[in-house]
Amino acid sequence: MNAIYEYFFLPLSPVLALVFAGLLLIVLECVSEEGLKPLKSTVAFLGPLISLYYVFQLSFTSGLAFSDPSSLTGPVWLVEFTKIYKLDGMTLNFFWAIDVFLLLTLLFFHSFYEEWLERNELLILIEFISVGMMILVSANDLLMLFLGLELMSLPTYVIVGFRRENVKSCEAALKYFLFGSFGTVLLLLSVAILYGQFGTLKTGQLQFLLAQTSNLSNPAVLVSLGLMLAAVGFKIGMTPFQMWLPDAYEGAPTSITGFMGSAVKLASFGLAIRIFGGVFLPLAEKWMGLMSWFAVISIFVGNLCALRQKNLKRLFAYSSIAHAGFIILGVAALPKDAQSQQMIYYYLVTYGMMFLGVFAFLNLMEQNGKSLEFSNLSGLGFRNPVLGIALAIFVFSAAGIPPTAGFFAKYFILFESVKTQGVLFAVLAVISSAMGIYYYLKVIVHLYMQDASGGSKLAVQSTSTYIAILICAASLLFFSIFPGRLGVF
Amino acid sequence: MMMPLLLAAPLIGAIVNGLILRPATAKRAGVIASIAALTSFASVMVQHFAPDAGPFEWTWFTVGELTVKWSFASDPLTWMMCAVVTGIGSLIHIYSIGYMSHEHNAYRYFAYLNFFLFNMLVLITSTSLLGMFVGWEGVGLCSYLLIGYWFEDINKAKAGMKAFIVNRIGDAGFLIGIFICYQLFKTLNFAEIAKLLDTQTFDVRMLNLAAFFLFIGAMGKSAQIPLYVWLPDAMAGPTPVSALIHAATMVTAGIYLICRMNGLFLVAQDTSLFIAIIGISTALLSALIATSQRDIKKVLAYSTVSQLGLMFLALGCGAYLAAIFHVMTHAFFKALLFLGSGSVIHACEGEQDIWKMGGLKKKLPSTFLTFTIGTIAIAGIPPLAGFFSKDMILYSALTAKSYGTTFWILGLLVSFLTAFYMVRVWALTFLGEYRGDKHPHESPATMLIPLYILAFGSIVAGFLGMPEGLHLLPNYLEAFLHPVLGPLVEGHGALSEERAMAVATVSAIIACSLGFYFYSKPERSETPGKILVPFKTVFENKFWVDELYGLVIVKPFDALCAFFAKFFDPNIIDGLVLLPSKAAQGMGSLLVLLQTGIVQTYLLFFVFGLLVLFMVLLKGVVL
Amino acid sequence: MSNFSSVYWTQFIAIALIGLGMVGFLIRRNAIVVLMSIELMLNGVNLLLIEAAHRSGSADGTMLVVFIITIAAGEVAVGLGILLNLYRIKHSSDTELYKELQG
Repeated sequence: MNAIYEYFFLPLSPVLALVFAGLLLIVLECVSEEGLKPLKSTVAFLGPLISLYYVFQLSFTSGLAFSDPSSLTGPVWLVEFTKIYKLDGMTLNFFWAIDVFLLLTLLFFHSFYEEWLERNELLILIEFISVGMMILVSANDLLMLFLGLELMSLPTYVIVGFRRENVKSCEAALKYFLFGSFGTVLLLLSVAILYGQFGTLKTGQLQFLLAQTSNLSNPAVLVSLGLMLAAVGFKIGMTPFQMWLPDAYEGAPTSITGFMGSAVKLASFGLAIRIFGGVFLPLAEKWMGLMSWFAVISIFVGNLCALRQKNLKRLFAYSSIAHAGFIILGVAALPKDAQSQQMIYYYLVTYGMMFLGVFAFLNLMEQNGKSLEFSNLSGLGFRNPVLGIALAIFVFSAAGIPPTAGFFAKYFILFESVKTQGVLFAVLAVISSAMGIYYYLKVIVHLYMQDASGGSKLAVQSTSTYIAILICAASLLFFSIFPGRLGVF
Repeated sequence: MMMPLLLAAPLIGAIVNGLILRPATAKRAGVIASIAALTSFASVMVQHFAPDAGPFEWTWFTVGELTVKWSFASDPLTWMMCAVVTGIGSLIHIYSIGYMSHEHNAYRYFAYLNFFLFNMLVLITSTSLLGMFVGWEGVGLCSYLLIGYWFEDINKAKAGMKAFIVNRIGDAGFLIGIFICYQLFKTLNFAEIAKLLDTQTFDVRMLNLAAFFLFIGAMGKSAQIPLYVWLPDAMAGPTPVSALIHAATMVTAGIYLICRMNGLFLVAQDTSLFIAIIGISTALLSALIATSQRDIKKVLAYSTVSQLGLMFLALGCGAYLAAIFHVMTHAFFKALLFLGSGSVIHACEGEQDIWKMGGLKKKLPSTFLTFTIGTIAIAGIPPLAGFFSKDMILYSALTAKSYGTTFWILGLLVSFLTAFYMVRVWALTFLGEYRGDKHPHESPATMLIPLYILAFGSIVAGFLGMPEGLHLLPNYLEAFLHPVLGPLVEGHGALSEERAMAVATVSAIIACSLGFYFYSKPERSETPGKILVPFKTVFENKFWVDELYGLVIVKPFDALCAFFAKFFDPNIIDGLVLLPSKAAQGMGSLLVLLQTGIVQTYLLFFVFGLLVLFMVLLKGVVL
Repeated sequence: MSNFSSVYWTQFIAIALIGLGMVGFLIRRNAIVVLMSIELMLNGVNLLLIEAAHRSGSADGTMLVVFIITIAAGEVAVGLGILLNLYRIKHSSDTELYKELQG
């Protein structure tokens, strides 16, 4: 019994907390569709909170008992179970980040201001998306990986199209869905080929088997690698697989986009690290250069397209492609320097905070009935000083201007890239990110240097959104002052 | 210990006056400033009787092999210059208390004056070209500030700008000279350069080039052709400023520079000849112009340019001692003349036209007495100071290696004219009847005491450098400056020294008599003008040099600047800068066109990317 | 034809299914056909996996196939739901008309 608790419940406790929260919400939904709203939102909040508690508890358990399951004696299913679930420092970091992003997004929703939020499926779906994300980043087996990926993706398709009456939302959902399923197919194909070659689905064994040098010229393995690159690339927004991203981000409801750009991206990069820092690590020389080139092209494409955007949501969607390009540079440095994992994580968390903050702000603008154009930002810095400062922090961080957190993030990634691959990619990345500063500063210009007489003050319709913005801004400031405090575990 | 005090006192005075206290009355500000100046003077005096341990040093920066230190040292040359600068400077500070007594917020003036003193001392005491250049720039700045002191009058402000700009042109040459010197000697320290010139041989052409550019700097600062045009306009500033800066101290900076680098100029014979030619030409030109000026200060200004020309003539002939001697004596009597004219102007309540003066002998007796002494000194009548120094210059010109006789005759002509126009001014101002409509009154004591002291100096200063030939007094100056400037080279000229002296004296007396004859009586005052009508117009209009500059230099330069500002910058430079931006936006537009909105298009790109991936991955293996 | 062992036959058919699915996915305009193509591709992958599991003797592959079938079903449900929503607004299932979001 003790073994089951120790090897099953404890390592899964963060995930289980969210699962139970989701299930409880389903039960409550069945009990009463319209009422019990405070209870439902409480349960929804409790999920990630309890999960966070367990994450901290796990992190302080020194010498994670399940890290060496070879010594375990117990039921067969338990022994097998421990092999599919990998709990290391990275997993705990990602769990923590997923929980925090989930909490912040729930703060968004808490307003119940908009009518579509009235439908409680949203909360259920979001909880389960987070479950899927957690399974994804802790997967030790390609099957679990697939399950986590699907559990994360399918509800995401749904909530992107949650606004049933809005054509953009539905269309975004369809495009995301089609791309997503295609990506899934490619992933499965890659898995199938690998399985056909090696006969196992466990990532550890595959990594070991792939290390044999003959695999470098094995066409099946290389095809599998290519397919996996495409599948993962689609999820993380790497050129040329990024074309769904602007549409999906623009069409989805603003709070959902915030969640997508922060949490889902985090989990997708977790997938990338697991795959390319795990399974395909031995084949590094094949995909390192390729990935770096794609990364740099992503940054270019993202920034160049963003220059021509007028809609703020689409603008930040393209900018997220550019940022993803930076992170991919960090992934490409993984084989030669394991420390780049920390850098990737730092970038993901700070970027997620920034993204969430921006979209919380955009949500606030929408709640006030303003369309998301630059003109509506004019003079906002003077009418709403606090919001203006928060947005300025987000934008400066995104632009990578010292001494913000975004600058440190970029610096770390570039440091890794230069260390492992030489100067070329770093130089190209910097040149193209210099192009990106234009539209970030355009925001600042509109905030503070345009005539303020036209618009009216943004009323804070939902305090929780406001609080979310403030938390994001404060955490960004914190990370800029203490860049080393991340990656606690 | 004395050196830091020497430099710090005027700087502290400037800061206290200008930034901290800002006293409203001229008296308070002037007292503070004068105390600072006198402190410097005292430290100079003490230094002579209790010499210093060594140079005062502080490292400024090190770049490669070049180490630049703030280093100040005192050798006989420096000491002498310091004595002159601080001594006459202090007197002028005291004079200014009275002169500026009607000014409101005169603290600005006294702060600038102290700051000028500081910079001049930095210039003189620096041991490297670079430190000297710092002081050089500083005095240029202060000159600009003080000339344009009454900046509310746009003409005065323009005069200040003109001074600064013309100086700047000289400074550019100076900088190039510094670069060439560094190139040649790999050091900018005077002592090291002197040693190098002694021990090594250099390409004479390079040395000439370096000397030439350094001389261009001297040209600007010391108002030689063609960069002299700022000095007459600089009279727009307060008269004590003209006395201090444009007679006694700043304009002598160029001469000091050449004396400091005398090792270089001795070897650079071609440049030295050029210097001599420029010097005598300037002297002659400005002397001619001075004969027909109406403004008392303008006459004195052109007279200064002329005397400076003589000093450069001496330098060009290798007689550095003579030039320094003349610097010293000229400082005394020119400052005296300027302060005297200031007294006159103050008395006539701002009137500066000598044709509207006259008969001031009775009304301003002290001023008259001192001004007379100054006139006699500058005319070169023995035994006053001007005679001995001018004689030393003329004799060295006579005994120069080339064109000696020509130089001497022209120099004699200049002296003749000098005496003539100075007597003209003196007579028209003080003799006869008063022609103006103001009520002249004598100046206060603060203004008179410096006049007396300077007059005394004008009388006795010459005895410091008497030629040996007369066997009256030893040549103290030569002995004192011998370590720095070398011995007075005895050359051979057409005449012996005594005969030359006699000729000079006679010509001076004739000139004075002529001047007195014509200008002491009103009915004869117009005669010289009538006799030399064509010349008079030319001289009066200063040979139209300013207009020539305006046409040939300023206008085309303006046009060039307009071209750059209106056409080149907005179109070409901005175009280049905007090019990447436009390119990025263009590319962005193209890329955005790819997002058609149709899913299948996106998927097509997806598959296309996949194919590219396969091609790259399978390159060596299958394909 | 009989030179090909059954292994290669299976793989060939699987690849053919995937290929057909992919082509249909890219070319057909009707959204429902696109969904069908996805299903086709997934089934091709399933075939590949079963064949590999049979060859290697481990049950991992078959297990994966079971999960894939389940999830594919869910995916279709989601996909059709989204399509229905879109149809309600656009009154057409022609993917070329779904271009509100562009640029």
